[in-house]
Amino acid sequence: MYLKLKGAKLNEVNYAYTGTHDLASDLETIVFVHGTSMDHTVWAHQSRYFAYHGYNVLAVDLPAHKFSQGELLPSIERMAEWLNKMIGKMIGKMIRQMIDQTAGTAFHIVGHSMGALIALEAAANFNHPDAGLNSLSLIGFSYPMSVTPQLMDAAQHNPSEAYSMMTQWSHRSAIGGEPIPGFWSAGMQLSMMENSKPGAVHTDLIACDNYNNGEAAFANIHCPILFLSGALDKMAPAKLAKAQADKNECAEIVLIPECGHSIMSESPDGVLDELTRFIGGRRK
Amino acid sequence: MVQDKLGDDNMKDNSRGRPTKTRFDTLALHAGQRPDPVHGARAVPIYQTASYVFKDSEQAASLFNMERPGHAYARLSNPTTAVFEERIAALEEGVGGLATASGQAALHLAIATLMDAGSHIVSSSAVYGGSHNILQYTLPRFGIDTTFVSPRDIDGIRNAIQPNTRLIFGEVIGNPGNDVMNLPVIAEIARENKIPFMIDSTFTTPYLCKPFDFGANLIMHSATKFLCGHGTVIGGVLVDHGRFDWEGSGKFSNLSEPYKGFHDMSFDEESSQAAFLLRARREGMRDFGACMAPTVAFYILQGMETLSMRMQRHVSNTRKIIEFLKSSDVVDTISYPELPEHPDYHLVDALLPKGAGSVFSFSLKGGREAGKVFVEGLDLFSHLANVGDAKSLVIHPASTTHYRMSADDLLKAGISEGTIRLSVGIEDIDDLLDDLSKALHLSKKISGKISGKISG
Repeated sequence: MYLKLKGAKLNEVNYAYTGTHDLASDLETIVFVHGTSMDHTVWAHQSRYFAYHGYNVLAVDLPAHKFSQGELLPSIERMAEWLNKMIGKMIGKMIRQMIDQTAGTAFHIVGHSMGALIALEAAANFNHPDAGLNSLSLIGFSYPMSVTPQLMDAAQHNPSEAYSMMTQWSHRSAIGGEPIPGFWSAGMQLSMMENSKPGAVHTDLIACDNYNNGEAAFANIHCPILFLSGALDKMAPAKLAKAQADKNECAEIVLIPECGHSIMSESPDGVLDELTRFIGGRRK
Repeated sequence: MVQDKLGDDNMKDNSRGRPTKTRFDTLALHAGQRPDPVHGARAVPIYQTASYVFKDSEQAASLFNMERPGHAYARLSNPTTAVFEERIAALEEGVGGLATASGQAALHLAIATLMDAGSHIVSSSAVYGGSHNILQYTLPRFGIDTTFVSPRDIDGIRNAIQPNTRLIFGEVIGNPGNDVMNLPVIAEIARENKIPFMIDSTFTTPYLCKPFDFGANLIMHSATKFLCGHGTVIGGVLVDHGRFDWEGSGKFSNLSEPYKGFHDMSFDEESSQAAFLLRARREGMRDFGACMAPTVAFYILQGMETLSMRMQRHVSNTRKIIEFLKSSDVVDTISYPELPEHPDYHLVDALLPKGAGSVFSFSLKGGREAGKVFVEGLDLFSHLANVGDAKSLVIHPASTTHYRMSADDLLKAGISEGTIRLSVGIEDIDDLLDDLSKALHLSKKISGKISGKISG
């Protein structure tokens, strides 16, 4: 049974990439959440792969990012609340389409950087009667995710400099040589940030900096958690992800060598292989 | 913990506490390449292959469906060519590049990706002859028309835009009068009309001018010229800045609507920053097939490693030759944007602070015959139809490329019977000046005879 969400517009103001597929009520769903001043295309390969391999995919654009309209949301908690609303709307549509009204739906949430904080908070508050959360994947994650004053100042007063800082620090090297033929990953990130809405980088970084509910959120999550970090990540050092993984018996951590923070473009296959293994292993 | 804040470790990267950015010369040598992980080759290996072995059927399907990155068939991509594409993208500060079989193929690919029959282009009238040919004569057969406007006629360019216009096109430095396009002004006109501005940056390369800094949306190069720099191969490339809003424009359904030729893919949904390059590769390279050979990419990469040094020498030699020509009594006019009498002199400081290139024209007083004698009197300057070689080149349009044209028609094209075009190379400047001096002397003799005949 297919849902009428083709074209990926969840409603008039919120957008999610679905891999040009209609959503099927009998498939598990993977929700991808992007980071600061980014959009759904950071998941280009991973989201497309899952959409063609038996999953529903919702790679969202957060409010006021790329195709989604609305106002920038000022906190991780508000963004997580928004994400759960989107998931709830989708579940409602799926349930209405189901032949077997007693069937449930299963979700996996994957987030990167700020999106990982949103994913964490959304997972902790995942309370949909007709759905279950099967797994949580936190990529390029650190907690706390406090921001150095120089970067915050640039984000507020000179966004171009903030874009430049974050682009440089997100890649293991500006030399490139990434696996995606013909594209310069640093240029792609810089362009994406420069194309973001005015104020987005500052608002998003404030949200990261202020978020302090991580420990409580982890305590409220009972599904398996994957921490996936670039071994050379200078934005969100892997040691912080490891510290959280060590505290959580449901968690595992994988480091991808020779990668920085922009792990999905620096090692698209590495990320995909780990997500395939982890999410595939939690498929009901 | 201070060291755990986003960016703290990085702020220590240099003593000034600011982010360090990898610089042009380093990118020219390294961008796009990691040393060969298998054999340790330091140079970019030439992957001379038409195809690539798939690990299994699953991987093959994933490659073709863009679920995994990689190479499926060399018409679409090749590891050697990909290094060139990434390197030029890094130097131009774009999101990516797409290498083509020639500069002409790059221009055609850009137009074929953006437009359908019924579309319209506004082009500078001072473009390369090959570009003029395809725009003026060939594309109208496929329903795409072009209005040519002098690059100096800003209002003319604005007024030439029609509802079906899909591109403004020009060159940083045009032909034959070295017209400098006012990039920021033209870019603003394009932005106001929600159409992209593509610039041919062949004569300047990213070393002398970065058109994206001035608002251009797309860049094309004939890589045959200065990028390669040695006159050894034919190649072209497109670079996308990634800042044009294809969906917001409402004029580019090719990029913002589902494409049945690729599983209903909407390219700007799939790649918000590189929709143009994605369609150009996935449709244009697939269907038109004008790809660059890996060996060609290797030669261009070899040239790009010395781009800065060569361009500096090209420019310094050019400036010295112009000073020399200014002192010659057989030289009538010199067209070079750095000269105060040039109409675009006022743009040079802003757009071309490192130099206005090394291709320029001058006119001999003795007309067509003097030009012919001058060219034949040169030894180091090679008489041929190309520019951008490390070796110095010369051509006399009135006796070669434009030999069928009358003096009046030549003037209409901005060329006199005595016009000489030089592409100044990187030889020892004193040898170049000796060569020019000898040829000018021969030309002067002819000028004198012609002058005598006329006066007698």
